Amino acid sequence: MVPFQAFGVHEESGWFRLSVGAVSVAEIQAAFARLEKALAEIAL
Amino acid sequence: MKPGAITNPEPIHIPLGCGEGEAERGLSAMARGLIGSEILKIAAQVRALQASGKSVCNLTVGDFAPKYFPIPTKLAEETRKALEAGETNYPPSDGMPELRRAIQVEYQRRLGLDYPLDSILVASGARPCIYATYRAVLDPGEAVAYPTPSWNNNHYVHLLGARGIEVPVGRDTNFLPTAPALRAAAREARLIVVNTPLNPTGTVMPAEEVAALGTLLGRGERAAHPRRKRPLYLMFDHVYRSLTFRGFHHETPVRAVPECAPYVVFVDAISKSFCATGLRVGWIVGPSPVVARMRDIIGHVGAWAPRAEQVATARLLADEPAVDAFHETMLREVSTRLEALYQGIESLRSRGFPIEAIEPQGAIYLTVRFGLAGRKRPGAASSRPTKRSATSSSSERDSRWCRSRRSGSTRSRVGFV
Repeated sequence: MVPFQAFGVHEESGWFRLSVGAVSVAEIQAAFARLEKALAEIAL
Repeated sequence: MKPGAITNPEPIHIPLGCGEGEAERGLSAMARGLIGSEILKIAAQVRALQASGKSVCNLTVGDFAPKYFPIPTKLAEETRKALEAGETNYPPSDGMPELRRAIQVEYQRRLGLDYPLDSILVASGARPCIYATYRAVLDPGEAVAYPTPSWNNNHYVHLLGARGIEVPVGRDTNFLPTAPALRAAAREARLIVVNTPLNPTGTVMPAEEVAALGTLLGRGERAAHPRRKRPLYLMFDHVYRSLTFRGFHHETPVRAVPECAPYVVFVDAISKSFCATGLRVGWIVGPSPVVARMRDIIGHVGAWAPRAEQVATARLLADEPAVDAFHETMLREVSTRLEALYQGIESLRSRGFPIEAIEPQGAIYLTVRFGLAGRKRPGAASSRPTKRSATSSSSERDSRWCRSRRSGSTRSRVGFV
C-alpha cells in the first residue's frame, strides 16, 4: 500500500491508498489475521 | 560474407564510467531534480519480499494481475488479428480513424457528449495525454492548480517547469476538491487538474461539484476574474469512469455546463477500464485547436499508441455487448475485493483498533487511515534510516512493514501485511 506522501502530501497523515487489482479476496481475508496481530502488538 | 556485414565480431568493452560527479554535472537541472515514482519503489520492495518467500498481500501498485483481471478476450483476439493482418507500421498521428470514430460514439452513448472527430486524439495511454495537456497550455512558470493528494501532478509540474498550486483536500470532502477551493486557486492558475474517480482515494466527485466546476470554467471564471488575459483550462482525467459502486455515478463538467467545453480537456484510456495497462492506448477529447497542437506534441515525442492495439480497441469499443459484459464482470470482481477490505477494516475499527476507511465509491482503491503516530512495535529500534533495502536484516526483522518515504522516524511507521 502507498502512503499519501507519494501523492504530493507533505505531512504525515496516516492515510494510505490500498489497491485491489493484484490480489484475490482470499488473500485479502488472510491478510487481516496478520494485520490484527500486528495492530494488537502496536496499538492496544 | 555479404558486403558490409560483420559476422560474429569480437565484442569490445564499453568504457562507460566517467565518474558519478561528472555524470551528475552532465544532467539538466530538470533531470537532476526529478523524483522517480515513489509507488514503483514500494512495488519493488514488495516484489523483493515475495521473492524471499514472505506472504505478502500486495495492495501497492495501481495495476491488475492478469490472472485475476485479464483483458477482454475480444481485445486480445483483435490485437492478434491486427498484427497478423500487417497493422504494424506508423499509425496516423492523431490515431486510427476507426478508433477515433469508436471513441466519438462511446462518448455519445455513455457520456452524452457529441464531439467532432477533430476533437479526438489517440496516444500511448493517459500519461502522454497529461504531458501534452500541460505542454500545450502552460508556458514555463505558469501555474497549474491540483488537489493533494493526487497522482503525479507534482512530477509533471517539475518536468514541465510549471508552478504548482496545491489545493489540500482531506477527509471532510472525501479528499475531493470543492469548486470554491479551486476557484480561489484558479485566480493565479492557467490550468486546473481534476481526476474523478480519484487516484489515490477511490472517491467520486459529486454531480453538484462537477457542475460547479463546469460553471467555474465557463462564464463564471471570466466574470470572477475579468482581468484574466489568457483562458483557464481544466484537465479532466476520468480514466476510472467505468468503475463506480454503491450508487455513485460519474459525471462530466461538459454535460453539466456545455459552455465550458472550449476549456475542458478530457483524458481517458483503456488502461484501467479494460485492465489493459500494458497495451498503451489512451486519448484526449477536447477543443479542436488545442487538440491539434497536442497531436504535434505527441507526434514529436513519438508517443502514439501501437497501431494493432488501436485497431483492436476500435473493434472492442464497437462491440457494445462485449464491453458491457466485460464491465459487469470487472465491476463485480473489483467491488467484491474493495468490500472485503472495507468490511475487514470496519470490523477492526469497531473493536477499537485505530484504523478507518472511506467507503468504496470508485476506481480500484480504498482509502485507509492507520492512527499509529508515535506507536511502534515492541522490540523495534527507536529510529531507522529513511532508506533501507527490503532484504536488509532490519527488513527481515520487520518485514511486514512498509513505511513512508519522507520521514526517518518511527513515528511514520505504518503498515500492512
